[in-house]
Amino acid sequence: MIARLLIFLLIIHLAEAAVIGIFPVNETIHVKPFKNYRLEFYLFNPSTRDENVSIDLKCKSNGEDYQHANVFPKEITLPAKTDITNPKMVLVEIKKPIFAKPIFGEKNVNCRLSATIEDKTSLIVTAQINGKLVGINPFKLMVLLFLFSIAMIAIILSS
Amino acid sequence: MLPFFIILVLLLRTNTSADLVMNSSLTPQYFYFVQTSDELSRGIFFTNSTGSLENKQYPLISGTKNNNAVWNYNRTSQKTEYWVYVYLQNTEINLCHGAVNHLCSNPNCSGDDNYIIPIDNAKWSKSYVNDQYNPSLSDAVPFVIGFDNNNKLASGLREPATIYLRYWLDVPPNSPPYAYNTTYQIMAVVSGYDC
Repeated sequence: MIARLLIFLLIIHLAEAAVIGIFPVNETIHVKPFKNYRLEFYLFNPSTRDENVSIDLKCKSNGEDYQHANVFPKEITLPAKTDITNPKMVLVEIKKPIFAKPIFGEKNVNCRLSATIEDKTSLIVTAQINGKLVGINPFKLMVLLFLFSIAMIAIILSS
Repeated sequence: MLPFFIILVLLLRTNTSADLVMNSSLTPQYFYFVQTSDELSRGIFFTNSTGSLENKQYPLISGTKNNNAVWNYNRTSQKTEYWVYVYLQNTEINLCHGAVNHLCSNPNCSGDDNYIIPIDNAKWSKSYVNDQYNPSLSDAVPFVIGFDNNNKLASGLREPATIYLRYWLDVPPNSPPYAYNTTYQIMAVVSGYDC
């Protein structure tokens, strides 16, 4: 009976520890116009209790917030006893709309993905995403404008 | 006209479906996880000298210094029950901690009737050794609001490690008797970046 009671107390005791893991931890990307980039990240929880985790993504470019980035889902329940072989996926999406800065050239963008267990002591793990925002290629734009003007001339002449 | 349209289509090619630039296999080479001890997960509660010996929380007295957190010294082992364990593989991380706010009598430190104990009255010490003398009060540094990048829990961790912690609180004289709270956070970041 005493042994049973001790085991019971031990289980209760172990269930308090908070654990959270993440991978990958450091990614590099090039974000070009017209494309949506998606990156998969994985969270796991080797502890003996399920954890409610809030997920956030913050991106900065030249010291300013970069708004065209998102993460799904924003909240997740990480089941107990998950590890690197059976983690839960979160998806990061980063876009470069054509009129978002830089319109031409390149700019750095740095993002931090964070996953937080809100507890009396909050535990946060993060992963870093470093990239370049790539604007329109001026040469491509020139060619595009040239072809557009030829097309317009052709249409006018044919009519 | 056909070549024109082909070139135009190539130039304006929009990728409506998203490009997946990274598809992690389920046996990653780079990963880490962080674990907080049971007592650290439950929170840091400060107590008086009697409570420190009994590992129980009792009210603090205004003007007293170096009040222990309840589990700074386990009454049987004299070891601290506050620790953070980091397991990592092929990566390097920094570990930071901090308080979101001062110690406040009202939630979110709001309201005219809110009383505060400035957070620098709380201090902490770390060690890779856990015994009666380590972590040591003589090495303690005060908390700041937010993450203190000058005083990290660990910098450039490359191997799995356990960081042992102790906490103390000075209670300013004439502090009114309330329950004072803040939110304590521990964060892991990739080395080379601030917390």
